[in-house]
Amino acid sequence: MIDLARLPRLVKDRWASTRRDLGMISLLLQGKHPPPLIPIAAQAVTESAVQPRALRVEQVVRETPDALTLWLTDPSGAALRCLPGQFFTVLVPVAGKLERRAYSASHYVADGSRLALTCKRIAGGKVSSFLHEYAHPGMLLQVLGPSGQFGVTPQPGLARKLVLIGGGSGITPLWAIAQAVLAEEAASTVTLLYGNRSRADIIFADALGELGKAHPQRLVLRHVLSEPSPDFASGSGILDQATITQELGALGCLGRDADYFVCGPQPMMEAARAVLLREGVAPARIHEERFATPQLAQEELPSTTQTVELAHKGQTTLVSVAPTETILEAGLRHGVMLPFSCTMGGCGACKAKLAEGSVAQPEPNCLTSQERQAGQVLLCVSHPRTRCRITVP
Amino acid sequence: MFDLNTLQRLLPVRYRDRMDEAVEILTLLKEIQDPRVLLSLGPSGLRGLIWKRGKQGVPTKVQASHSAHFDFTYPADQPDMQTLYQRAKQGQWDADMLPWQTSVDPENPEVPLIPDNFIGWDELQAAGIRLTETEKRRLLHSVTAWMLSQFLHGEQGALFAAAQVTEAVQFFDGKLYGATQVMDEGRHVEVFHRYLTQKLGKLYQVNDNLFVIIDALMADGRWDLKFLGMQIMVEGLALGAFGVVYKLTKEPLLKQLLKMVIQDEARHVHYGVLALRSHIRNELTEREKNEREDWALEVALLMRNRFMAYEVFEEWGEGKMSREQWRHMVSHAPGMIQFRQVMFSRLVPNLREIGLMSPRILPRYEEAGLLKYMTGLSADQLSGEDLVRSLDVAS
Ligand SMILES: Cc1cc2nc3c(=O)[nH]c(=O)nc-3n(C[C@H](O)[C@H](O)[C@H](O)COP(=O)(O)OP(=O)(O)OC[C@H]3O[C@@H](n4cnc5c(N)ncnc54)[C@H](O)[C@@H]3O)c2cc1C
Ligand code: FES
Ligand SMILES: [Fe+2]
Ligand SMILES: [Fe+2]
Repeated sequence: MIDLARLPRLVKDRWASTRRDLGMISLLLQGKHPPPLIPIAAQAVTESAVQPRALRVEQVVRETPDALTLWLTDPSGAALRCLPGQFFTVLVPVAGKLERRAYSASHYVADGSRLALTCKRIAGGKVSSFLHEYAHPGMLLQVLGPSGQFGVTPQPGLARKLVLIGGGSGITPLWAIAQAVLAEEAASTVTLLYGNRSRADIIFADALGELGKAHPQRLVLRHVLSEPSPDFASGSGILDQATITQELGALGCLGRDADYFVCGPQPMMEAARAVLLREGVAPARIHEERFATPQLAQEELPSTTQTVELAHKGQTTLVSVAPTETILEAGLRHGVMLPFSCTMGGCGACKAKLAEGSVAQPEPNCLTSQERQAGQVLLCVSHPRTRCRITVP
Repeated sequence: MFDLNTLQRLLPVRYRDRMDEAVEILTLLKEIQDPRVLLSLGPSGLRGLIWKRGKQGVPTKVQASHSAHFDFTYPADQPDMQTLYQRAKQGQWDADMLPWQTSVDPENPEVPLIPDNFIGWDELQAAGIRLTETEKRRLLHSVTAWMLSQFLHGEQGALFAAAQVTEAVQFFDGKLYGATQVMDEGRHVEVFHRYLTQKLGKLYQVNDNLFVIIDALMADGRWDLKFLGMQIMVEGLALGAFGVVYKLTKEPLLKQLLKMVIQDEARHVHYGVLALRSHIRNELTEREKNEREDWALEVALLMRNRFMAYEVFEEWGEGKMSREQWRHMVSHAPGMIQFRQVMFSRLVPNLREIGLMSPRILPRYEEAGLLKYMTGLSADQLSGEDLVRSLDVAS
């Protein structure tokens, strides 16, 4: 006997299967074939309570010889919202270890239907090389986030002046910020000072130019190249203190009425900070994003399991932390619902106070020197060296 | 008259490649001489070659039609299988014990996964493709990942087929032995998958022809055909293939992994020979026997002629060269030739041993150049240790 209640499901399954079969024939007729590779779902190589979500790579776009953009969607159809400037943490297994790296959302997508991450290949870099070699449409990537306080919350009523200073791959959060502000805040203006080696290294060169044409009154674009080309309008030099002072001066951007967003190589960021402070810009108006991923060397990791006393929400839990795991991982494993977001020391969501004991944590991280002196630690990257007592806000 | 070749040349490249694929499928159908074999392989061919069920990116279901054979009297009448069961229990190993901490750089020329001659570099150059050293290493990496991916997909087939066969077979000792084989195959899936995802970082789709074979023997209701397909053909060829890679690879983890797998597989093929030998000699009619014989030959040819690493071509070579050029390159690369030879040197003696090499079929093996393997040792005369030892000596 046919169970009538099951009939709709049977028909539905059959229909779905037929559609897939026909899809294959239609592919053949278009001269195409299904993708030859199976996406490798990045599995948690180390058992971890941190649950990322799997996003699907829809498209891989080459931006420059060593930068590419991955366009991602959530296979469940969920939106991928974030504030312009925020970043996501990508988890990939490399040589048996789960590596975590942050990548800023590099395009502003108002409805969150998709997410762009732009990755520059670093010579010998584990994760960037992995993505450059293996990312292909259909691949699943394990992703956490969004995280981070760098960036803006677009508000249509505002009329503000933003000055963006970027170098190399540091353009990624700045590009999202520029797009968002120009799209959502009709009265705000954006100036972008962007340093690169040569014309060919400029990420989003064409898109930047087009955005400039679309908003001639509101976007000012200034490239600076250390190897300028005669046929391309740009300043020349590297973004050190002298160049930054001169360029910002020429752009009329050394006032105290602007908000500054800085992202790029460490020397450039230090130079920009020094110039802005010297010109009397209030520290609160200077926003910085550092791309460095600090890591502990093998020998800096503790060699024994330690006990950590975690005080969280009025409860104290004793947690044993293995040498290979972070306090965050161990805490979650023991059922303590610790707050976290990026899991790589970049956002501050897991900040806690070390009341007693000592931990190894990679530097530099997103803690300010004041916070560090006050005994703040980032649980997502901390390994206890001794027995510790920690208070979680 | 309408001429396929001219038409093919006039088409845009990607259509030309698809056309090449279609022509290949048609030739395959034409080659099958026994209508019963056509009938039994046909539906699987449709699912695998046209609908590409193995590549749709979603789980696929294959309808099984065998019946489970129960026996509540627990007869003990197969001493050979009992011995094999004892050996299998003692031969169990834990995949975690392999040296997984070995760091594998798939593109390190000092520790090559497979030798250079698995690719016909001269032919590539003749097709106008010049590769840098890095690109060459990457291509060898891809070809290895492709081979191991097919091993993995074959192991998944073996896992389910072993479970089916354990249900369907009428020898009680065979059922106990079969349980160990199911465990073995599960472990093989584990190790190949782990190696591919954690060490090579690459996993290819199942080859259409392999899918056809697996689909056909999973769907067939006759237990002896499942045995023949899985235990003799797929496992037999896999055993040969593992042996070649074992012998040639310089990567220590892969070598160790294959060594363990080979010893399991030798038991599996041995079991296939034991189970089929008397069944084919004593239970089958002449007509049934002929059908098995034709089936085995078709499957052997399917495996030999059509494992052309097209998935690597699709990833890497499309647009740079034609599918036909690629096939020519793959079938003439010295490494690949050796690969196919060793595969068949393991298979043919087993077909002889179970009685599927009657004078009726010999001319077709002769024609396919496979007859020279007739005199080798069959699986029941060769233990896993013997096998590994003979490979070690040869290398
Ligand atoms: C908040 C945040 C946002 C980020 N957003 C982006 C982004 O949008 N796009 C992007 O490409 N990257 C971004 N990064 C950097 C990214 O997370 C990785 O650090 C980078 O991809 C290198 O990782 P890797 O595994 O390839 O290199 P690793 O294996 O970690 O490093 C290899 C070597 O390269 C050095 N190195 C690491 N990073 C750099 C660098 N940037 N320049 C020069 N040398 C380096 C290391 O010190 C090490 O010696 C961001 C980082 C942070 C913290
Ligand atoms: S979770 Fe972001 S810094 Fe720890
Ligand atoms: Fe197996
Ligand atoms: Fe097997």
